[in-house]
Amino acid sequence: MSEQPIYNTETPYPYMDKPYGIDKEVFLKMVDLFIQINRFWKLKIKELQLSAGEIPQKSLREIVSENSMGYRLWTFMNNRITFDLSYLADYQNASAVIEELIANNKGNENEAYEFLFTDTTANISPPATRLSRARQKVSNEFVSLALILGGFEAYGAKNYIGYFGGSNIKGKTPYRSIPSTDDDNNKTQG
Amino acid sequence: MDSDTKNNQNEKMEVDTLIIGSGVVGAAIAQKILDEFPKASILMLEAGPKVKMKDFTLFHNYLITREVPYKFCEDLIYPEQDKPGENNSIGSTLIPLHGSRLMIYGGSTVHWGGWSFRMKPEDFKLNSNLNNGQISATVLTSKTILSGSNVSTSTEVETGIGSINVIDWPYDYDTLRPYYSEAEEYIGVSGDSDDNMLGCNEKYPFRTFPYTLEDSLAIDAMNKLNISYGHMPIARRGLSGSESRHAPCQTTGTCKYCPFGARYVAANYLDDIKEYGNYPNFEILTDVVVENISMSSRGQAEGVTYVNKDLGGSKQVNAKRIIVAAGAIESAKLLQRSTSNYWIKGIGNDNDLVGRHFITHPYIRFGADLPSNPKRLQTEMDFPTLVSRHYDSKLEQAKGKYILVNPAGNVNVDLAKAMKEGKSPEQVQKMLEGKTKIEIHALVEIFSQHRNRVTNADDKNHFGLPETIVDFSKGPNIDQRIDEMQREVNKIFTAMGAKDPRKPIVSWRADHAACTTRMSVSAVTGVVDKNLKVFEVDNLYVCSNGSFSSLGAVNPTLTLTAIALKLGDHLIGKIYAAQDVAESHEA
Repeated sequence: MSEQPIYNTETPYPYMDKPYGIDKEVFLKMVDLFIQINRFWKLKIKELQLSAGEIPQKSLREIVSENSMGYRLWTFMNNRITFDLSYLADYQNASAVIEELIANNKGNENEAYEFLFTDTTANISPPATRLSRARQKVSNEFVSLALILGGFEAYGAKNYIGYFGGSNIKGKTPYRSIPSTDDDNNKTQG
Repeated sequence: MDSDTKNNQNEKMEVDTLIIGSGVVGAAIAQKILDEFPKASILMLEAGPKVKMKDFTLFHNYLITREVPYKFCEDLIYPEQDKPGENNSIGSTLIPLHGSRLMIYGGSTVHWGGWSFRMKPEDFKLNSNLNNGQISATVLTSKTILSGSNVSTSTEVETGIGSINVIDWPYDYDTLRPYYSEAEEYIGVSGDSDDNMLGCNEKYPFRTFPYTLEDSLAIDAMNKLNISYGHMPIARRGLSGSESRHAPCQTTGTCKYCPFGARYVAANYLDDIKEYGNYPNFEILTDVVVENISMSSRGQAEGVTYVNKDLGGSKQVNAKRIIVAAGAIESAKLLQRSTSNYWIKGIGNDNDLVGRHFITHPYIRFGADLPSNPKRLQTEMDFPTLVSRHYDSKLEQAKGKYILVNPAGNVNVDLAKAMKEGKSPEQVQKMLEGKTKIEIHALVEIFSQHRNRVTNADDKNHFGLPETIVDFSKGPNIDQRIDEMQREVNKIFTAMGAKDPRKPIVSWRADHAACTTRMSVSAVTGVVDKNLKVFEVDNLYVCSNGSFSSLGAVNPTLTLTAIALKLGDHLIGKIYAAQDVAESHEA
């Protein structure tokens, strides 16, 4: 009997085992994008604000390790790159597009981001322009991520697809339930 | 068996137990035998590949795209004008295979929903109940078979629901009851232990999930209409006081690719056997296609020939006992193509029953419009918590029992989609509280007909298995039954305050394909006996939904697990008996 499993490990699409490096400047621009998503849709995501004054002196590793939401965003971006290396270019592109939009709006960041979030031409399919790739491959995915990381609570729910709501514990049901049925009438207790 | 042996394409392998298929049946039986005999020689053959489970890169991709990483393990769609496709559906009712099953390490449990119902006592007596005056019928043929102390009747009748050929199970609910309990423990079911399907000494292993707020509309309506309902028993692990390698559900709502492995997936359990168990003679081969089963005599299966898709070439492996656990479709097809001088029409197919009596559940989606959604109901879970078995009763059995499910996400609200379209937060809030669609889903029992069957095609599918020909025509009055169901569901919609009920969407996808090698007391009415052994073959077993005598109205996987565990006990008894014989010979 062999020591190693002899089955083949397969995926429909091979992906990178080692994360490619994300440039610090690009990552911080993506943090800005994430913060703007939170602001525009009034999502109230906790622990989002990075300590801006300290950023220039800190390495990317320090920035990420000291901020849980930043760490989640960094992990997400790395996973997307691991899955598909083109995301490395997409994050760079989105960073550059955002810079250009801010310049086009004479430095008004809020207006620049609102254009990115709402412009209808940015949702063309397939995404064949730099703006549409920034919207669909980056901004729209961050919208999903923002909801998953707790942003959904602004819209009245207690749980959301992708959110780690927690276990099914008596009295601590991690989703909106019917109160009379939330009381444990079950003789078994996990 | 060792790796050198495996890699030598010219050398025959010999194992004690050969399992074809790596789904819940294979995993449960292997675990059961290994618990009793840790050094048991077991080889499991799987036609599909292994895909990573519990991987966060794949999980994040699933979160964003809703694309599962095992999609390529489904059947392709049927051939179309511009797409070659695979398989063929030749009956008057199209039975999609695409999406219904997976050819993968772990089988279809990799994508299943985890609904874990017990069948009801009357389900085990379908033929008897239908013949006890519950339906008016014209008898077309009637066969009564005496087999030892058993009497089996198979009646083909023309009824209000078409021409049907149904049988009883060879045992009753109480025979399977202890195995239901064992199955619930094995696959980790969270359920309501006050459920009247459980006996007084039985409990679900994990606490039931409370009803979601989304259930409130259905609950209020069913209360008004005196329609009974209960908690959905669901294979999601909960918190446990005992140690387990399997994590509890974190209500992540991404069950099709659970990052924790809280939903039962046979692949995770097989990984555990391999990684943590001390079972030196348990082996799994993936990407190998079993071509046929060979016989050394009419009553003895010798082994199988398989093709290793990576290395190429055919290889023979012999076994003392063979368990075919490749699902209702592939198991039947394998018996059919295993022809020999002993079995000219395929193993167990002298009476042309293998592959026949094919049924599945139509999955029916009823829909209507809610004028407003003041509670901002939206999807908070990825599995349903409320089910009504009100119409899954003996009273309804002759017409076709059915269950109603309040599906997760029954209120159609998609926050992310609205935001990505560029809607402002105010527009999103307004959308949430405004008019929305609402759904109730249903499964209805279908009765077997002799003419409906699955067979092998000449071409190979993208896994190297023979493509499937499905020949199925629904009974003439199924549509009438669905109309009756719609009238009942419309009452619920009305009581909810929903309006404008739509024509239901009916999918005949073969998710619950069953009865193709059905269990009976005689080879005249079935293919396997009560121990799932092929009639007249001493060492060949078929354990899949195909071995169900009938299907009832509910998802089959818990029952399948129960009959697999029952088979496990039977095999353990056989192994002990063989040891006794060997020892007596030595003495």
